[in-house]
Amino acid sequence: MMRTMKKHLKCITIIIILFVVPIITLISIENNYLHIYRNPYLSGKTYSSNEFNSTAEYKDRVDIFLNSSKVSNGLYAQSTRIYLNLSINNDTVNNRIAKINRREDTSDFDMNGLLRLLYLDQDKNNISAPLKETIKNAILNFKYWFTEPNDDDMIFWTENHMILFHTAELLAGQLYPSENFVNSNMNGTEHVNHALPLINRWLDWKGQLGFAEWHSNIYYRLELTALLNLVDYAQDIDISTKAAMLVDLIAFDFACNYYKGIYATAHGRTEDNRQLGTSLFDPPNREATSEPAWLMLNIGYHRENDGDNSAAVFLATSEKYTPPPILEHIATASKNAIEHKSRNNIGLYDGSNYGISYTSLSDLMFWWGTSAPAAAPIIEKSFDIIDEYDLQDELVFNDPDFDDLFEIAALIQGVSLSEVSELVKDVTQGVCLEAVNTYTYRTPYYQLSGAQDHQKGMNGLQEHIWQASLDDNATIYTSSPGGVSPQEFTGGWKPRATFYKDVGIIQYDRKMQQLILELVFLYLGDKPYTHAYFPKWAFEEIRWNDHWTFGLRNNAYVALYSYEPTWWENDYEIRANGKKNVWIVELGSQTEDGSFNAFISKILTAQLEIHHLPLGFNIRYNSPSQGLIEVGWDAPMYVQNHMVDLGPYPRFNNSYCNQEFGTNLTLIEFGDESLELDFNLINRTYLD
Amino acid sequence: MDVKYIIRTLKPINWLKGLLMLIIGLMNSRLVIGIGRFIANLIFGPLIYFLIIVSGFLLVLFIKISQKDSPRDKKNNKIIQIMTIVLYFTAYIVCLFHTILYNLSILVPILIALLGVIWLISIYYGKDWEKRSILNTVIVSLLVSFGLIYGAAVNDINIPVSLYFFFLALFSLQFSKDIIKSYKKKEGEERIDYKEFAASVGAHMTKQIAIGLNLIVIICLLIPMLTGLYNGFLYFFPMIINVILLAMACIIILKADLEKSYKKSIPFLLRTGIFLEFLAFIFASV
Repeated sequence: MMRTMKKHLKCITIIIILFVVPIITLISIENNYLHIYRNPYLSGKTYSSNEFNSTAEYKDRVDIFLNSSKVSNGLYAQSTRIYLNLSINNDTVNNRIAKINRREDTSDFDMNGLLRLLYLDQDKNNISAPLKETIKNAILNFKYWFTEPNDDDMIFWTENHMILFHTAELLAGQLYPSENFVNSNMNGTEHVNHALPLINRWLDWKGQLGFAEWHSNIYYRLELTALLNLVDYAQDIDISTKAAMLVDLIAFDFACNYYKGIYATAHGRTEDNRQLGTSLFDPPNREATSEPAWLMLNIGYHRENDGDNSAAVFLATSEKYTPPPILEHIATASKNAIEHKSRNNIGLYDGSNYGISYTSLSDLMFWWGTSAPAAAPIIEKSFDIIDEYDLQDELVFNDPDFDDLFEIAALIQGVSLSEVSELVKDVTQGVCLEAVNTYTYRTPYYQLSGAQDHQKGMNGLQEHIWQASLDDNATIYTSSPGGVSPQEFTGGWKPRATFYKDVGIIQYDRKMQQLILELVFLYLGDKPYTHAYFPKWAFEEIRWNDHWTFGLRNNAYVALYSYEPTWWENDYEIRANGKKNVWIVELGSQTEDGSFNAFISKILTAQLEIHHLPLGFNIRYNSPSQGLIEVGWDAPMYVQNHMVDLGPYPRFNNSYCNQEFGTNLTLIEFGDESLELDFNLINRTYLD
Repeated sequence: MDVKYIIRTLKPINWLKGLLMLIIGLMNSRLVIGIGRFIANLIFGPLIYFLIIVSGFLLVLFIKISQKDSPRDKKNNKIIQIMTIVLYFTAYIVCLFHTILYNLSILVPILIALLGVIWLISIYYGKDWEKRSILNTVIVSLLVSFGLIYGAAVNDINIPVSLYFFFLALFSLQFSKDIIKSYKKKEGEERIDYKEFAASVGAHMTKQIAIGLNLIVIICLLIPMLTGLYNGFLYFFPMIINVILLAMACIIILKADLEKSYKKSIPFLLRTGIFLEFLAFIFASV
């Protein structure tokens, strides 16, 4: 019996060895072996699309832009044509008027274009009388705020829409002070009086607290559009000055975050098509801020076919706004190095600290402007307003059945709407564009930029949390798609992203939610993975194994680690299974690290320990460039035992400006130059 | 050994009950953890607990038939004993793996180890104990209800207070139901080598224990309304019906002479009570 048992035991041992040895060998081979991809289009070639007209002065750039804009058939480009004393395209204008008359969404954009045409034409008379009459009728029939009667399909309440509507109302009222505006049954002067406090309120919020649509590479164009109309045509000098100061602040933000032609930072609102390219021949769409950034600061690049960019047109045709040269000088000086921290907006529960309530209609517009109409402190009042003005749910909440869903949830839970909102706050607060602290670290070879520890584990609609950039195409970022965002790479579940110089540690996880919400996520198609955008086509060489992916571009290097094993889903996307994952990014260059091989070798031998927590991870990473970095889901980030400042940040903090958050005075200095933007005294002073 | 007898002893329906409780335990403690851990627990938790349940019911079978003397029974007994041990240790190893891989609390393998201690003592001493039906009833009730605690523990060491009451309520009700049923078994299936609970403890004492347990259940169902639940509103309705049914069951038990006439309405009420408990626990997690 014993002999038989021993025999069986030996047999089992041998079988185990037979299975275990090859598995161990396979694992060790996998860990050491790197797949290699060399890009046939880029290997050994220098490539950049960002140098066009990079040496031109502001006035020269304006001329270059006007020349390319005048051939565009877009609505905004018609302002260029009037400015240059050329005839305009009537069909374009009529098409947009038809849209405005139907009160379609984004009609406020077009209305600002139309109004600028009329103001510019006041001393040119390039618009025919019949067309002028048609435009006038459209202006007099338009609905300028949701409190006015009659139906529409327009969104009024995001940050950019608000200022666009208010601006349109002011300019329209100024233009026709005694005419009757049909929809509101108010005359122009009454509209001016209605618009003025709303504009002042908006400008003051932004001057003191920054923008809700922070660093948006789409919506800053529209905010610039409205602001430049105010600068040029608001008869109230204070409004004009405040608007100019906000344009300066946006330009300063561009200077601190633009890298090699792209707004290479986190964005509060963006879209996949601005961030994602599938090949060298299908790169990401141009950012809407690129043309104005080039025009104002000579960063980025000009493109001939971007002549209908409203912000760029309004800049180029502006008689009153010229960017202070200090901003361009800073943009040039910081091209190769900057460490920049900034903060935008306040937290959802910080309203009382800044005198913003949760109940008055006026203050509620601040919160609606941060995409928070469904957040717990606001939702009850939001429902009241929706009922009072008969607003469409879809336009307010982005979902036609939102109120029904919430009321059912409240019934099931036996609680109030506000309490339901609190139960699902990872979504209702997650989509809120509340306080954000962004960090940007730039060297001549790369830029790493992201939102520090921002709404970890919450769900967002259009946020882009971080980005590493080696040039305008070789950019890398990660996301955890799903939830209320329909997009693959934008929005989704937000990580705990933490950055220090050239290293970023980005952990993804989220709390389990109420069952009803989990079912909603399943219905919406929650995606069981996290992923990275890593465009093979934009790199000269890529190497990877199951966990690490390395990229080489213009003697700059990037290493991206995933705790969960990864695979290439296609030529630009790396995926890892599960919604809980850690991604680590480290950047390097030939100057700092030697050869690409040496960089890879250093990274692969770096000590890395990752431990699961009930929520998130604890991570210890011995970075070759920064030393030991430790960070947890809730714990601070330490670099060589020194705690890293993850926020809250000042409004601006870099070598050129240090402004406490919530104050009204921005002082930007560079050499002997200074720019003082004082929202208290309403004073814009540039000294050189 | 009769296959029917084995199936009746192993009670596969109770395996499902135990697994359901584990999932309810996971669900009722899920909001404090991340989806990554929850999904891992949803995979590992049922696997580990299934192995524990099967080993537990094999243990019950082992205890029941351990006194049989035929060589074939002895051989079967040995096989059952080995299977119990193998399944338990497999569960334990998987639990250790789960704990290490996902950095779970040390409490998790300790909970499994505690069950192991009970298993070990039962294997060594239970088979010779005259009143071993008590042990079996405890093990069955524990297997059905312990999933609540284990499910919550794998999620987070800070187990919600309500789950302790859920556990006590379910354990007590299952225990109460089984001992009431033992009256019936005593009539129909009495064997020399194994005395059912009522026969072991005595009819009067069994009745008192059943009433006492039902009162514990009522208290344990009411208290979670005060300690906080994910959905107290939905929990309330099945809970309050259950409390009424259990109160009725108590009255019937008190009035009935179960030794003389077995009241089918009592186990029916208790079974309905268990179903309503399941419903209430599920609703509480919504």
